[in-house]
Amino acid sequence: MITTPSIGIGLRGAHYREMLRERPSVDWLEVHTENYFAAGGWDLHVLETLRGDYPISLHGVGLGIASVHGFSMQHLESVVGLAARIEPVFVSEHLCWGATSEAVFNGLLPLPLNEASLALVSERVDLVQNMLRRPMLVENISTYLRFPGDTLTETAFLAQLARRTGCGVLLDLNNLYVNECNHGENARAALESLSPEDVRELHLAGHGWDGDLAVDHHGAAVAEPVWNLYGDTLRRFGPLPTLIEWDTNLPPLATLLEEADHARAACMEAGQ
Amino acid sequence: MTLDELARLQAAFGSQLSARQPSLAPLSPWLDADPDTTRRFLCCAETVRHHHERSLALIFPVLKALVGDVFFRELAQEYGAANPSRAGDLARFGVHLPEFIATLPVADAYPYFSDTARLEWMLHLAHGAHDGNSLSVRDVRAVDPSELESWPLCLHPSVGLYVSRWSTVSIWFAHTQPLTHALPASIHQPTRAIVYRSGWSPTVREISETEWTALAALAEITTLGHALLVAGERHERLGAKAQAFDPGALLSRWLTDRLLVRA
Repeated sequence: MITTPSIGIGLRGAHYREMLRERPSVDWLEVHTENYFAAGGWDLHVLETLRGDYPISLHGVGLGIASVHGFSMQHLESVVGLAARIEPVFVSEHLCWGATSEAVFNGLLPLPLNEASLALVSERVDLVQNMLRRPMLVENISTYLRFPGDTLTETAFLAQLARRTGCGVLLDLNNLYVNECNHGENARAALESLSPEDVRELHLAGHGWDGDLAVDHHGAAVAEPVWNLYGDTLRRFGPLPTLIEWDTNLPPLATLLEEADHARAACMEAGQ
Repeated sequence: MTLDELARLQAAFGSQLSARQPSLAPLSPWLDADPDTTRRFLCCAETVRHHHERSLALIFPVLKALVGDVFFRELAQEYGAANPSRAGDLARFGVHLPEFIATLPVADAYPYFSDTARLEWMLHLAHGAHDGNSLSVRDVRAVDPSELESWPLCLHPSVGLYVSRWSTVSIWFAHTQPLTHALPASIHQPTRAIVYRSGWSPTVREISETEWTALAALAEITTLGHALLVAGERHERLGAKAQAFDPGALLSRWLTDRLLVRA
């Protein structure tokens, strides 16, 4: 029997004042970690105020846990410092790399999915968790490219990572669907690689199209195939904290709340 | 694959992401160079460029308005090529943009672009500066005036002193508050100003050379009495006796704007 999961929304600057004024009924908030690295100011003030009323999740986009070179201890220390200050329910990052010794690319770059990458990422996750003194979550990404020499699927990689490090998996269902469109990977088969104890959080977001390529732009409502995948995911894993992610072409806050209601309704439907 | 090979893959991938005309040839051990893969790689490169451009546009909106969207996109690309990002936090990416613009040919015709960018970078820094405990009117009223004069003070972490040969502050106001501020008649108007946070919002205020002298002294940590003394001396040297030096008015404005903290 599926019960209603905890549904959160991404907190973005354009919605700060309305959030502070209205305190809408939503179960939790997720923020991009790097947006709160400053020493002080409005962003941090809002986050520290809202954390009194909402559980907060810190979702990083800049650590690059799989960068062989260019991995920044200073960046990690900033994450740890913010986590100590905000006391989030989750701290998450992406399964990707983002830097070399020459530059930081500020993107979620695709990783060859093989044993060498798994060993490196396991080492990094251990490091992050030791510094955080808590488990972290690692999210699957959408990518335009896969490496022909891959020996693991992404979810099989994440499952092994979870076994080795004790981390959790943040499963982004829009990313699974976008990768199904762009690489022919079966999203439902991907779910089979993960066990219920691996997955701690779900992401739902919108995508667009550039010709025949699906683009994970987080700038639209969740698409119907992703809602369907959400239903199948809930039936397999049970209720999981679920986030409505919307980062570009930001709509009114009410639209995000409607998407959150949609997620609740989808959960009820999955339980029938 | 070994860790060394993974490092070589990432180095090759990264260098082509940054290249003006990316090629998949250096990635041949790991990726095919067929048209579909090439197109997908170019999508990755475009996404990275877009993130960098967007982060600069958020920090430098007035500069973007001055130069136009097309030039700004090229500027962002040239800047990124010359000054690769060094941090996962994109808020630091634009730190060298003001000085970079000063080196471009466009600076000959538009010499105020660099100083406008510098002003916007200072506003960006003010936005995220440490909150500090600024002195309020109430704090000051609670102490004896003679004691107040001897307090070592400094400027709030959000406060920065700004000087330019151009009327860049007027340009900034004309773009950010166009209903109440017109573009200056001439750009050839030297500017002294302070950047600070008004409430939570970063802003800028033009100031006189007298006020500048006092705030510059406070920036180095000094007593209120000394800061007002050197400002008064400067005022006399400037011969600005038509408008009397009013230390009380200065202090009142600083307290209202929350510019001061105890050192």
